[in-house]
Amino acid sequence: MLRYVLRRLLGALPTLLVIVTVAFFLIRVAPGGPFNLERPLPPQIMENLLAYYQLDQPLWRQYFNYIGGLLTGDLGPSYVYRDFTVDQLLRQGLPVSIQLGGTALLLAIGVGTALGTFAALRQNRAGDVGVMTVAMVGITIPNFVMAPVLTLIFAIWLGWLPAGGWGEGALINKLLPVFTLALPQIAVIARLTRGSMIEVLRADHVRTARANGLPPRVVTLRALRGALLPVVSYLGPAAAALLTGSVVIETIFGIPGIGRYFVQGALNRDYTLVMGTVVTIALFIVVFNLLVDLLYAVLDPKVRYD
Amino acid sequence: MTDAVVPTEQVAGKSLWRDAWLRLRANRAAMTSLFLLVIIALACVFGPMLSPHPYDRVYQAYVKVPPSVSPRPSDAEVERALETALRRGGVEIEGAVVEGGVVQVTLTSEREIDPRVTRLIDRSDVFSEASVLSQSTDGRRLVLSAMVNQNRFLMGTDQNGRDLLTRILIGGRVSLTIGILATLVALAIGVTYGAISGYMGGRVDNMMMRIVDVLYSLPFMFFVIMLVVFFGRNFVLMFIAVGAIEWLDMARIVRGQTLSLKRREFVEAAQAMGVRTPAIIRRHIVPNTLGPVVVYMTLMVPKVILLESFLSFLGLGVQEPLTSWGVLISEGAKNIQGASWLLIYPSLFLAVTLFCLNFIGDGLRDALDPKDR
Repeated sequence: MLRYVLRRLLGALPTLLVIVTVAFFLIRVAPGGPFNLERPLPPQIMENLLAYYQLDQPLWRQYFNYIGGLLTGDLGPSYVYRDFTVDQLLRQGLPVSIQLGGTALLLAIGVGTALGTFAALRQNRAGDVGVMTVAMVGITIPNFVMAPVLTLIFAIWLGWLPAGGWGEGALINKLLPVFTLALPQIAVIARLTRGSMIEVLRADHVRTARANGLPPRVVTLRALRGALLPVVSYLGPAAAALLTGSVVIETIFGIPGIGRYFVQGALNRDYTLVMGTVVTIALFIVVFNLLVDLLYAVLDPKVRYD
Repeated sequence: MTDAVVPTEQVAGKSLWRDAWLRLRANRAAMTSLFLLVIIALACVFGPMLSPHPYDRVYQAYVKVPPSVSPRPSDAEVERALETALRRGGVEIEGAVVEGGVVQVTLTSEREIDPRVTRLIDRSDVFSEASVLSQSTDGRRLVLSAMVNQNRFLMGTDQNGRDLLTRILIGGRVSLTIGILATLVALAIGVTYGAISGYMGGRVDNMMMRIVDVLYSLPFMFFVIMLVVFFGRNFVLMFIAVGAIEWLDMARIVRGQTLSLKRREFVEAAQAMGVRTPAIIRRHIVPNTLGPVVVYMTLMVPKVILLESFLSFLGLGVQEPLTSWGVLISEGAKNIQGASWLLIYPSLFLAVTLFCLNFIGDGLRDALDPKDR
């Protein structure tokens, strides 16, 4: 098992390198630079700035400098948030994003699988149709519509919840963002669970279990174990995306996570900040894909990694 | 063996597409969606031409007016509009009477009133053809009349005083065009790439799919934002580029189909007859992959519309005065306090369109799925 994990992590290194390289050169060829303001800086100052950040060196040398820094865990200074290194910015933002995304993820897994199982057990009856309609709403309505509409209802018309802000992580501030983040995931997970659950419930081993007189609850739980496989493989990339923050949610609710850095960084040509977020996201994706594969082995006895 | 039963009656055959259409027709959700979608599309194409308000016309007198069926201005609004119009005229309004779409106003002032005051009134959106009826001999009292322009804003106006309904329809044009355009680009690239990769097989297939894998693992948002950065605000170019990214799934689907198709008899027959590879791919492979491709396409249009709305929401999409549903929603989100219709109506249009497309996609999948037969 350990050998498998190590091999997978080593195997991910070339992928990461490709991602970092492509991202690095892509953002560099984009026109403009971090110090191109609306009113151009005097050439002397510009020269000094570029020299200070070593941006005047040839691109290939900058690239190797960056890779070197990356290997020692140094993500470089932010060009736009002048007083911070990228490392510090991520350190501040990431816990917030992870907290929010993690809560949403747990909520989505719990509610989603429960709803999906419920619907599968009542296939084509009222309960099923109801759950699937709600799921359709969850999948169809994008979060940048859902978030302001929910704010309108709960914060402005009813006045129950704050319209935005992080509030040092107060529970009441988290309710709306977590729910908005979780809703589409709940919907997808419910649909996936329902689909595979219907198939598994017809499988031989479940019929045998039922024939043996096991109580329905136990049968359902057994079936669920097999039915969760597609959900788990969906959750890999989804979890990575949730935990690394959502631009929309963070913008609408005014939450200091790292989702915003990505868009802002790219627009401001804050090269190091963009690279920092790209590396973070890529790392999350690699790790979660690995976790998915490991979970597969737990859930499906046919899968072995030794 | 010789007296095998030969069917005397010809059984009417049903082609795959005809069969699928019959099944789709039986699917009530999909048909309702199709109907709604056609209505929305027609409204977006022809609505702005029929609308009395150009989408970029600013009515300064009607900023953020709520939706209503009755025409504006109401009598109270006439007076307010008069006050606004004459604010710089240095005159007092003594009384205004509205009758049959014409307003009659009496103005007084301490100095002689310049009859050119009518121009001030004409400048307002609410009035036109102002003319002096009579002026007292000392010139300090003047009676004038003006036509009151009746305007209907079924969905209210936005923060600049533009008709929201017209803007939603124009935005719909943009959103739908973008959705279709990008999807067609993705379709063209994905089908060609997937069919070639699957049909060639072996090392070529391996390499082509590895490229797809690498592209997959790059953060998608990063690509999109880089495209915005590259193409600037050139909208059409950008969405051709978005289509050029979205083809990855399409390529995988088509490749999978091709792999199973190329071992089939009709393909082997074509090979044996010496048909050249491009012709086989064009005549025998691609047409047979269309089922899943069509399904995937209907599901991709909403994805692209969403993406466009998302970019516009971030301020990276269409630029003023042109608009799209994403732009309207993001403006609505900024104005939810006090002008909630700015958020509600565009969201409604977007949501209904996305619903319809999703239902049609699901319906098509059920209709074309051979497993279900």
